[in-house]
Amino acid sequence: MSPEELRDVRGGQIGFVFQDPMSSLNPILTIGEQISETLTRHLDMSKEQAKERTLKLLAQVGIPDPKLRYKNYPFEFSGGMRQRVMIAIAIACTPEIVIADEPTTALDVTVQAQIVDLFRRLREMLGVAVIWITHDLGVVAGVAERVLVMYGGRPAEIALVDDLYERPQHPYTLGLLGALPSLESTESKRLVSIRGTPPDLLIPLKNCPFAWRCDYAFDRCWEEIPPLIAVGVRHQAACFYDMEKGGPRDG
Amino acid sequence: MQRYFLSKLGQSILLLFGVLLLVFFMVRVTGDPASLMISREASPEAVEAFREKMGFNDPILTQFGRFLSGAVVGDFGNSLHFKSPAMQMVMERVPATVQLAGTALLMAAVVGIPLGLIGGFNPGSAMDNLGRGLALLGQSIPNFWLALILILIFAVRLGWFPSFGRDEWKSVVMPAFVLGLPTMGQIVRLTRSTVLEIRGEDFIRTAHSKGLEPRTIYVKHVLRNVAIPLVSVIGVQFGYMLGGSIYIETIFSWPGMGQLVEQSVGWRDFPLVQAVAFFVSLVVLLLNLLTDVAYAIIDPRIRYGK
Repeated sequence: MSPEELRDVRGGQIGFVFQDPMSSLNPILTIGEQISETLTRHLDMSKEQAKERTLKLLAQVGIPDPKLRYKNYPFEFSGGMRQRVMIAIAIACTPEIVIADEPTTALDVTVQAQIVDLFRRLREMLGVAVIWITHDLGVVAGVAERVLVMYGGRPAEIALVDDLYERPQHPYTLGLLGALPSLESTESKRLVSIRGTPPDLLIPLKNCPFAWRCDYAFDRCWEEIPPLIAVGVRHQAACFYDMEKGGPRDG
Repeated sequence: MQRYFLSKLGQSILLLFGVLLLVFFMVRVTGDPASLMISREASPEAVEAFREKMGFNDPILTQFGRFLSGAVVGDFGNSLHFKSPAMQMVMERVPATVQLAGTALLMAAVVGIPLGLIGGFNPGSAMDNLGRGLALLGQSIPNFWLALILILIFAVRLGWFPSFGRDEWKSVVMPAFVLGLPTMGQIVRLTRSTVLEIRGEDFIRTAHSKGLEPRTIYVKHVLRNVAIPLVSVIGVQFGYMLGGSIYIETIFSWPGMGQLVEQSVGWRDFPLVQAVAFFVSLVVLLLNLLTDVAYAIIDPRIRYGK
């Protein structure tokens, strides 16, 4: 894809929401300007049309008094409000996909919930697919339909969200879920962690990237890199060990 | 904005008063003007009569009060050496100094900003290396030495430019070059590093994620942010040039305020030194005020008092 084509896709067909709303907006341009420049770039709008649509977008992402806020600068917004502005930028041209890179990590918990809600609402309203990159398994359970678990730069497991939580098929997923603190447990005990550290990806992989840290690893795991293997309905895992059978997978 | 401006104005006025205080007292600890102004053979009575006439015998506070009430209306008394009003003599020197400093700043900005931008957008390129080399030279060559070398080559050997005075347009080239060179170096380095810094900011990544054309990103998102530190440095440097070109003006016999400072200090010509010092401080403070206003125009965070 040429740089020109790529620029048409960015902002036009794919919107992006970044992690830190405090630094992701230009401090010396107005909020309105930063939203409407996407519109004039991709949708062939005049300045007036772009402004009108920007006001609608601001209302859509839940910013009160859009007319007044249009002329404000980022420093006059709180973190949550800025993230709403980022979302308005991302959905401005009604893209097919919005990529959200840990969009709630830099926010405090109550604001996190509002932003997650906003994403869900917009997804229904605009029919846009959201790729949500996160470490937060709680948010995943609330927002996702399908989940792709990554390890060492490779897909480890893909599953529908309920299936993943009920029957994880990759030892790494199992480890992640095991590390979650539980509200129900009353006794005090240490949280489970996955021993070891991630592999150094500068050294080319020859075997399963998780083998070093895996309780189930056997000979084959040290000899080849596991591909994604179908393990259920719309469920794939990159693992040679069959959790349910309790031994190496066939084939 | 208004409050911001008023507070800056108040600060300037306070500073100006401090300058007057310093100028008045510091000049008086360097020596006795009466003994300098009157020939060595003069009788003690004549020296005493001179002191009395100039008011040097009055209590120091009375002298300071007189000085202040004169300073407010720009009256610093007559030059001891030339017997004409000191402020008027300073004013006569202003156009030459402004011409020199203005040309120097223009040369520094016209060369320095593009070099810095090219370097910042293409770090490691040939132009970047050239710009950084020039910046390093400009900031490290002692300019009195450079002035003498330039005179030797371009005035004495080649005869392209006059070595002193202010008689033709060519006269300004060499002194302005020498005066502007360190500033050019500073502008190159500041522009380059600011461009690099801003380009790495998250909001530039956001601009890319919108699919904006690189040119739009550079002009709208990068350059305006680069202008903020640049404006303040240019303001400070211009003030420095207006007041601090003493030895460059002296080397090139440029008839500006710097030369006047050098001469009046040598003669211990109190009124003249005071008038120059006051005027230069006033200009520098006004420039700073202007810089602050420009700053506020570019940066909304300052405009709205955050």
